[in-house]
Amino acid sequence: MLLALSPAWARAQAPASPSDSSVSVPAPAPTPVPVVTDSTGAFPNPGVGEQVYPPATPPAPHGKVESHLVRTAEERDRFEIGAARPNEFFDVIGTIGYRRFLRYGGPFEQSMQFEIAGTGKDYLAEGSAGVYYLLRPIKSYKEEWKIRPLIEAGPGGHLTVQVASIEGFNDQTFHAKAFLKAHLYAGAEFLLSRKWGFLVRGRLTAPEHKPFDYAQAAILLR
Amino acid sequence: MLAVAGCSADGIHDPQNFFPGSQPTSWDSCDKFGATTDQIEICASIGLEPGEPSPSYNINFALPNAAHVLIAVFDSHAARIKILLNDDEPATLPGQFRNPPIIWNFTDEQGKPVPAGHYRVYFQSGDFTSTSDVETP
Repeated sequence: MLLALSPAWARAQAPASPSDSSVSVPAPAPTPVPVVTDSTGAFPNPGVGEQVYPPATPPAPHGKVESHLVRTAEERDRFEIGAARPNEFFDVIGTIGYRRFLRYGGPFEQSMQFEIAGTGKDYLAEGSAGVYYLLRPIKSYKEEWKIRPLIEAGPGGHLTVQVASIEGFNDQTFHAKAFLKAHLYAGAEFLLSRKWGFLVRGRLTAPEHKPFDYAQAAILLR
Repeated sequence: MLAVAGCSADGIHDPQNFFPGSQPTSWDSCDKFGATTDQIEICASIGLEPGEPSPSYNINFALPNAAHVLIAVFDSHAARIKILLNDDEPATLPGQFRNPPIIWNFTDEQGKPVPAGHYRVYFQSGDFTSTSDVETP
């Protein structure tokens, strides 16, 4: 009826179709499907309603895979309270140390250790402070070991202050000296729990007129 | 005294060198005319005293008043080597030194010769204290 009444208007509203002059309702637009080609260049053939994903990119060929032994740095800090027998004038030295793990570098774990020590004998009293940079071979022990060899080496700087009592003269004199030495420690750690244990170790020092200059026992607090 | 040094073969916990021998001293020479003041005077020198077989360190002093005198020798590590005099001393005659002088023959308390090196001699009488460094031959 409408077409009969106004054919020109109806034609103007209908989409132009050169082959079909009859009136038709436009079909709903199809769901867009991503057009993706795989690596072969062929188009995928998705089914109706299926989502098409690109295939995973194949991994690039790679060379040798290296692995490194890295530990969890189970002890970032630890304190050492101990006593040492020096191979020198004094009989025994009290020591308090603080050790800080730094990093793993190559085959070594690297630590800084700070130590203060005090002693006295006869007319002489001494206080000293030391800072050490120590390298310990990673493979020298395993974390699950409760008894571990303790082998480490590195330089140490020391500041030693001695106070001498001038016997009979009610007088004192003091002297301070700084040392830079190389040290090699060898001994063992005994871990009694996660929190504490003890160690024994000896020290070789150079330059030194008595290279084996120090034997120490200490309690570890971790 | 504060001394800082780099690498050294010294032991870290060895007794240090307290008396390197650089201490200026007023004991260098005695006035040949004798003591001149009413204060304690000390002088000393290394020489051969009459009756001594070898050179020694000879200490002369003048005391204006009777007093206790302590004289002792210490090595460079400040360890006491020998007490030379520890006694009450009468006043010396005006213008004169004690006679005989105090002699250190470079031995320790056991009479053994001390190693060559620097030593310090302390003199004390009452509140008065004086020192002199000696380098043994």
